Order: sequence, then structure tokens, then C-alpha cells
Amino acid sequence: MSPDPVIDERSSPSRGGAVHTIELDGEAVLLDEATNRLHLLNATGTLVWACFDGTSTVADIVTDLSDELGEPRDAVLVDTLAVIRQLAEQGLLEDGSPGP
Amino acid sequence: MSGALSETPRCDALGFAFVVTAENPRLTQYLGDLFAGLESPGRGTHRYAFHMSPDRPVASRCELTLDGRLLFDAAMAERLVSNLVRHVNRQAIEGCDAIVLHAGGIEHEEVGFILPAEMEAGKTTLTAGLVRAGLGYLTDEAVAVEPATLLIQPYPKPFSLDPGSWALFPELEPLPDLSSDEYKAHEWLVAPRAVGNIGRSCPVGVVAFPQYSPGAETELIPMARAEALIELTKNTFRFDARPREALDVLAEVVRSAECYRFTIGDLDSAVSIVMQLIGARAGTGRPQ
Repeated sequence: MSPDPVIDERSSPSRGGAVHTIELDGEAVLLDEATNRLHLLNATGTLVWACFDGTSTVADIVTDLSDELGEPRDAVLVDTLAVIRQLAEQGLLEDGSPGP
Repeated sequence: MSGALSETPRCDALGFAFVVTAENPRLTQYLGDLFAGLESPGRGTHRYAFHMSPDRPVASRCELTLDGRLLFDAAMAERLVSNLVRHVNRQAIEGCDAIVLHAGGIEHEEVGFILPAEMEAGKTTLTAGLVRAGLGYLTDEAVAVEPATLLIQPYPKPFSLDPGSWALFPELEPLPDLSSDEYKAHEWLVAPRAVGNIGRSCPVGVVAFPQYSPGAETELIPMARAEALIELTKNTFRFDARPREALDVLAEVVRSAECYRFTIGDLDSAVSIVMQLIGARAGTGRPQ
């Protein structure tokens, strides 16, 4: 992730290449093999993490999650952006800045 | 003093094979009893030896060597027994190819119960209490999980009971016929078979993280598997040496296990609650 990336609905988050994921009962444990640090994602974080494919935009992801969860899109957007920013701060994402 | 050497049977501590020789046959007998759970016939072995060297200063007259290399010295062999047990343990853990957890372990009907925790959390005391209650002893210190099979490899080392536990197990005070009590000045090293039976290799069925909290209500609190996985990594020897492999193995362990935090107010209630859990799992009441 580049420093201070802009993360908004146009971003296409992608999991860091050195991040190994274990999912257990809807929660994820992430091993960042670059730092050997472990991270625990709650159910919401795990759901969002599972959507990162480097192609789908945050807008796409939020729409899908909103439909799937039956939650208002605005609320899902707030939660999703919070999760993405936290993951980015922890160095767990590739550059997810909006394209040109 | 010099004389004929006596030797313990060959033992295998998670792949570290060894015998112990000494000039005092009573010491050898005691050590043989301590390590009896690890006896394993075979070829090739390391050799610990207690030597008395009358020409050395009194304070270092007895030497403990491994394959001829000096490890420790003291005024008498009895003071070196704890050093020996700890050295064997370190060799076992450092040389083992399995994923090794800092945990106590017991077995019942081919199901393993592991108690991962740091030092002073009550692992050994609880493990000894459960073995005394009839469960099979796997280890009080190092649960080795084979990556390929996810089976626990029994490592029934001597129990190391701290003074705080002595009153709970008065019947386990070591009483070998040695010339000094130095061997039990700081801890009791207890032969596993003096406590109960040795357990068999088995998969992990229950993971419970014990925390001794005097006066607290003893309880097993269910724990999410992902959280348990994180906690297991904190209690894995040399996790950083191969984190991904260890994480994958431990994930498979917790995937098929019940996971708990285990607050322990006192030993009797802790043993009782584990026995109830076993009974509930088996649906047949308390184990025989």
C-alpha cells in the first residue's frame, strides 16, 4: 500500500501478496509473512476481506454486501471503508488507490 | 569416588534419544524411574554421565556431561538432577520436527485435551491432578503435534512440581534412597507412573487455556476458534521459524476441537469440571 492512499468507492482493494489467510467459523486470522505478524478479523472484517479480488471496486463490494446482508447501503459503505482503511494501515493490502 | 557405572534404559524424548550413566546405582534407579515413560529400545543414543572428580574443588566436584561435554557441575550429583531434566526437555523441544506447544496434555479414550499456557499458569498442577484422577498422561510441558497426522506425540517427561503444588500432592514427594535431599530442594521431579497412566497418541479434541486465579470461580468459557488459534501461536515453541506451516497445522487442530478459556480457582474444582466435560462428550458419565 502506498503512503496515505486515497480509499473511496472507486478503489479496488487487493489482498497483500504476502498475507496468508485462515478462516475459522466466519472469522479470519491473517499472517503477514513479510513481518510474521498475525491479525484477527471479526466477522464483518472477514466478510469484507473475502471480497477483495483486486478488480471489484469498493462500490461493487458495498452493493453486493448490502444486498446480501439486507443492510442499508450507506451503513455498509461506512463499515466497509473503515475496515479497508484499518487493513491498509496495517499493511495488509496492495495499493488500492483508484485507477486513472 | 569411582566405581562401576550403572545406566538407565534408553529413552526417547521427542526424537532425542539418550541414556544416563552414574556411579551411584540408586541415582541411576531414580533417574530411570523418572524417565521410564520415555523408554524406547533402539540403537543410537546420546549419553549423559554423572562423574565425581575428587581432584576438583568441593563446590564443583560432580560433573554432568553430555557425550563427554561438560554441561553443569555442583558439589553433589543430587543438585544436578533438575539440570538434567531441563536439559533433556530443551533438547527434545529444540530438535523436534513436530509443532510443539507450551502446554500440558492428557488423553482419554484416544481424545487429547491440551492446556496451553505460559509458565506459572498452573499447567503442571492441573495436568497432574487430571492424571491422578484417571486420565492418561501425555506431557506437562510440551505437546508435540505431528503435522502430517495432527496426532499428539506423547512426551511423558517427569512432572516438575513447584513448591506451591506440594501440599496438593503429598503422596508424590520423591523418596529415593539418596544421600542428600538436594534433588528436591526447589521442585519435585515425579515419575509419571507414580501419578497415573501414560496416555496414547491421539488427536486434539479440546483446547483449554488455563489461568490460575485463586478464589475465582472455576469455569470453562467457550472461545472462538480464530481467537484460540491466535492464542495457540503465542504458546508455540519456535513459531517464528516456520510460521505459515505452524499456523496451518494449528488451524486444523482448532478446526476439529472445542476451545475454552479455563479459569481455575482451585485444583479439585478444575479436575471436576474437566471430568464433567469428558463425561458430557462421551455421553457416558465420568471416565472409569
